[in-house]
Amino acid sequence: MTAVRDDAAVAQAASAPEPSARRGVPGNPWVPTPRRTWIAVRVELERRRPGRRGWVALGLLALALAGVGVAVVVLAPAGESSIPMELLLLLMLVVGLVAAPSLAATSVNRDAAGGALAALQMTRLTAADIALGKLLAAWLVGAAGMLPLVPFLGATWGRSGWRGGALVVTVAAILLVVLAATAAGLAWSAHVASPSTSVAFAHLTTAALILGTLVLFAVTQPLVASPAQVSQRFLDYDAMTEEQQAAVEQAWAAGDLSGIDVPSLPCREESYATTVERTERTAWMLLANPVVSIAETAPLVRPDTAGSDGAAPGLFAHTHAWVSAQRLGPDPADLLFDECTAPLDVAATDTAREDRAMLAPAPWVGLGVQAVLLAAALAVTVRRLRLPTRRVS
Amino acid sequence: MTATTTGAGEAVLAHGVAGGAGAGAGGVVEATLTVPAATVTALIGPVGAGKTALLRMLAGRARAEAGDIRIAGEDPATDPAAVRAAVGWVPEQPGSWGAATCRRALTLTGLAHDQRAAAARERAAAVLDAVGLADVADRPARSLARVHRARLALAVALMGDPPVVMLDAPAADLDPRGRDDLRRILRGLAKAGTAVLISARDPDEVDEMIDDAVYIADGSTLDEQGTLRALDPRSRYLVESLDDGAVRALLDASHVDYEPVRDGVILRLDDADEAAQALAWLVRNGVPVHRFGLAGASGRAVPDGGSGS
Repeated sequence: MTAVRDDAAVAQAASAPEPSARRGVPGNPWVPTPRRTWIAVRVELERRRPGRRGWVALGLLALALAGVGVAVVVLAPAGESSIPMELLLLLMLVVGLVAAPSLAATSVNRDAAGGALAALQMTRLTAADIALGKLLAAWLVGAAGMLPLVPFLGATWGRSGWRGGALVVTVAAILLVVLAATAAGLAWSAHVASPSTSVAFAHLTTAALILGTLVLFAVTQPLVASPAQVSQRFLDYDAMTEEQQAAVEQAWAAGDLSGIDVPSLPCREESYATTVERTERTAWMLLANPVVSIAETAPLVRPDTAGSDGAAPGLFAHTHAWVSAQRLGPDPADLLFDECTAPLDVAATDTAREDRAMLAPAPWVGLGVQAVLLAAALAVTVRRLRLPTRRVS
Repeated sequence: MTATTTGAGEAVLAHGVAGGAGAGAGGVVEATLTVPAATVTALIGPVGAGKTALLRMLAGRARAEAGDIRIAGEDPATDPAAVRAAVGWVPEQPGSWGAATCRRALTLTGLAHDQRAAAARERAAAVLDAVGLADVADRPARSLARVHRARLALAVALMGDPPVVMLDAPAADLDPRGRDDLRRILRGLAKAGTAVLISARDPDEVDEMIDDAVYIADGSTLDEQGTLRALDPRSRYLVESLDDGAVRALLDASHVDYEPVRDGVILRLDDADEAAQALAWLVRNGVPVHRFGLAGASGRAVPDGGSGS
C-alpha cells in the first residue's frame, strides 16, 4: 500500500500545468472531431490490449488463418481462376464479421457497468467522439484480424483475371459491411445491459441480413407467382410424308437442318397454363444482402469469351448471374418453344445467358442498406451516450 | 476565466433543485446547497435519500427538472458540456481501465481534456504522485487492488484540473487508514482552491475531512438548523418509552426543550453525566422508559418537516 504524499504535494498537483481554457467547450454531442475520436480509439485499444496469454492465442489464430491461406493457394487448380481469391475474400469477411461486432457489442455495457464510461463522458469527448472511437477501435481490430490472409490474397490475385482496382473496391466493400455490422453491435451494447446478450443480438443482426434476406426472398416467391401461358409448336412427325420424315431424321442426326425447308413441314401447336415467379419484383431483397452486394462489386465476366481471353466466371460472377436472372424475371422466351420456325436455336439461350452475366451490377442497393444501418446504429448509440440524461437515477 | 471566481467564490450553487424518481426512491424533491471554493462539503443522508441523483444533476450528467444550478459559473441547463468539463467526477463504482496502465489511463484522460501530450504526461505523473499511485503507475489497472482502483478513479477525475470535484460515497468501504489518506488528498485539493463535494451515508465516515455538511433526507436538503441537529448526534439522546404522552407532558411541565420524533422524543444533553442524571430524573418521575441512547444520524431520528424552510 502506497502512502499518500503530504498536503503540499497534492496542492501542487491540483494547480499543476496549464489549466487549458475552459471556454469554447464544444457542447454538441453529435459532433465528433478527428483528434478526440482518435483519443477515444486509443483509450479503447489500450484497455483491451491483450496480455501475454492473449497474444499467444491471437498468434495461434493468425497461424490458423495463414494455414487456410496456404491451403487455398496450394490446392488451387492450375490455370486462371478467381475462385481461390474469392474464397479468401469471403474468409476475410467472416473473420471481420465475427471479431469486430463481438468487440463492439461489449464496449459500452461493460464500460457502463464498470463506471469507465462516466470518466470519458466527463472529459471534452462528445458522445459522438466516444461512439465513433469505440466503433473504429473494434473495426480496426477486425481489420487487423484479416491481415494474415492478405499475402495469400496477393498470391491468388495474379491468376484471378481481376484488375487491381477491382480488388481494392471489393475489399473496401467488405470493410464497409464489417463496419456496419460493428456499428450494429455497438448500438446493441448501448441499449442492452448484459454483454453476452448484446453479443448475441449483434450476431443475430448480421445473420438476419445475410440469411434473412435469402429466406425472405424464398418465402415471398409464391406472392409473386403469376399465371402465364406456354405456347409450343412442334414439327408434327406423324403428319409428315415419308420423304419428309426421312429428310428430318437425317438432318437431326447430322445436327444441321439447313438443307430442309422447315416452314413447309406440318406443324402442331400446343399451349397450356403455368405460373412464373415475377422475381423482378423481389430481387431487391437479394441485392440488400451484404454478401450479394460484395459479389456485385466484382468485375463482370463475359461468358462466351471466358477461358479464351480471361478467367472463367468465379463465385462472384456466378452469384451476379444468378441474382441478375432474378432481377430480369422470367424470360418471355422461356414461354415459347417454336420448333417450326427455328429448330435447334441455341443462339437465344446464349443471349439470355449473356444478358444475365452482363447486366449492370447493382452493389449500391446493398451497400446503401449497410450505410443506412451504419448511420442509424451510430445515431442511436450517440443518443444513448449523450448527457445529461433525462432519467436522473 | 470563469472557473473558481464566481461571486463570493461559491463553486457550487444549487437552489430548489428537483428531479428523478421522487421522495424516498432516490429522487430529489427540493435541494438547496452551496459549496464555496477551497472547502470540502459533505452531502449526508441515508440510502435512497437522493444523494447520487443530486450529484448527477450537479455534475451535468442528469437533467434537473426544476431549480437553478451554477457550477463554476456554468449552468447545466444551458451548457452541460461546460459543467462536465468543470467537474471532476468520481463515481461510486471505480472505472475499469482494463489492460491500460494507470499512467496511460491518466495520460489519455488528459488528452481527452484537450491537453497537449507533454502536458498530459507531466500532469499524469503529478496526479499519480498526489493520490499515492506512483508505485503502481505502470501496472495494468485491472491488476490493482480495490483501494488503488478507487484512487485511480479519483486521479482520472483530477486530470482535467477541475475547479469542482464530486465524489459519490468515496469513504463507504475505506478502513481508517484509507480514510486518512482520502482526508489528506481532499484537504490538499481544498487547499489548492478546489471545491470538493462528497456524499456519505453517515457523518462518521467523513467528519474529519469536511468543512461543512448538508443533510439530505427523502430528496430534500435540510436547512442549516436541521443539518446541525442531524449532524450532531453525540449530544442527541433518543428516549423511547411505553407512554410518549406522559414523557411529553412531564417535559412540558418542567420546561425542558425536546424534539418530538416518530419513535419518542429527542433530548439535547451535553455529556454522559448529564445523560445519566436525565435518565434517573425521568425514571424517578415515573416515565416507563424502555430505551435510552444516542440518536445517531439514522433516518428515524430525522426531524419531521423535510427541508424546514
